[in-house]
Amino acid sequence: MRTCEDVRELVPWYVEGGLASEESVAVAEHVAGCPDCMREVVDAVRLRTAVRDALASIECDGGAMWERVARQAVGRRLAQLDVGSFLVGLRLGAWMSRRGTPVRADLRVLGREVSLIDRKRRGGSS
Amino acid sequence: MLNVSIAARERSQGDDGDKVDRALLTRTARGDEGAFRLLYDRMAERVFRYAFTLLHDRHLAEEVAQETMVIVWKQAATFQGRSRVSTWVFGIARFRALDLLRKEKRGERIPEPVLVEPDPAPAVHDRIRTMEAIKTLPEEQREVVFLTFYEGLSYAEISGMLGIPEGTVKSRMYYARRSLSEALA
Repeated sequence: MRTCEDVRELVPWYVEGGLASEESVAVAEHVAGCPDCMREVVDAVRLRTAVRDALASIECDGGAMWERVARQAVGRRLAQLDVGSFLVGLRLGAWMSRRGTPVRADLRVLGREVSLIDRKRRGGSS
Repeated sequence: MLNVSIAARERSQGDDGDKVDRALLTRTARGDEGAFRLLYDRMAERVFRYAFTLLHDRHLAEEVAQETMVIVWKQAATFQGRSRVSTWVFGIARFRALDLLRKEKRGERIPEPVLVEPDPAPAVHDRIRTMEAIKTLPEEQREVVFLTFYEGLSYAEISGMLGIPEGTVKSRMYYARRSLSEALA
């Protein structure tokens, strides 16, 4: 038997569907017979909606941020050769990045890629 | 701009979303640029919002999200699979954001002024009010609210990510809800 205090602590995860099934059932059973805890559930749903709406409204310029991330992480592509189809093909590529000039070759068979060469050219590690 | 629905979709996908993240991270560890771009599309906006929740500064939140994603690219091979990929990524972002918060407490940065529209529409007004209410919470309560209501993490996952007991997660959420309910009444 759970007390109102126990249940109220779990209410935010109950409304999120983030409780284990036995916990969720125990909370549901308690809430069904407890008007005060039912009010807690209604309030939590309202609050969750308000929080999600507020956070989702914060705009993020993901495209511009990607340009900066790509420059720092992936680097600039020097060359790439892609032959064949989606099912069978070969891709050769070389990049310039802070990690050196990696060279990669992937063989594509039935849509799956198998790495043939993956050489990170800085100090010759591969 | 990234699609706002991505975070909501990922939340609802749960374990399936994590399987996709793991596959993309594995390929990212091998230097697959395309996989990294897809992982970025799934994660960057969520990381930005998490950082914004902690910092309340758009430029710094972008900086944190950007640095986090670069670290994901560089450290992809070190992911040990003990948590969801998203939890691992948020852990990286948290470390960077808290570092910036420490600098703020030492007076090394000036908080960004909040720009409020003079006469916003009712829905916009509600969102601004909610963001202002979230902002008044202590930082440790703000992140529990974000991780629960926006990311849909369980209290056990939050406990693991923040390195605090499950009871502490529950009590932070309890006090956060009480404050938010009073502020938004």
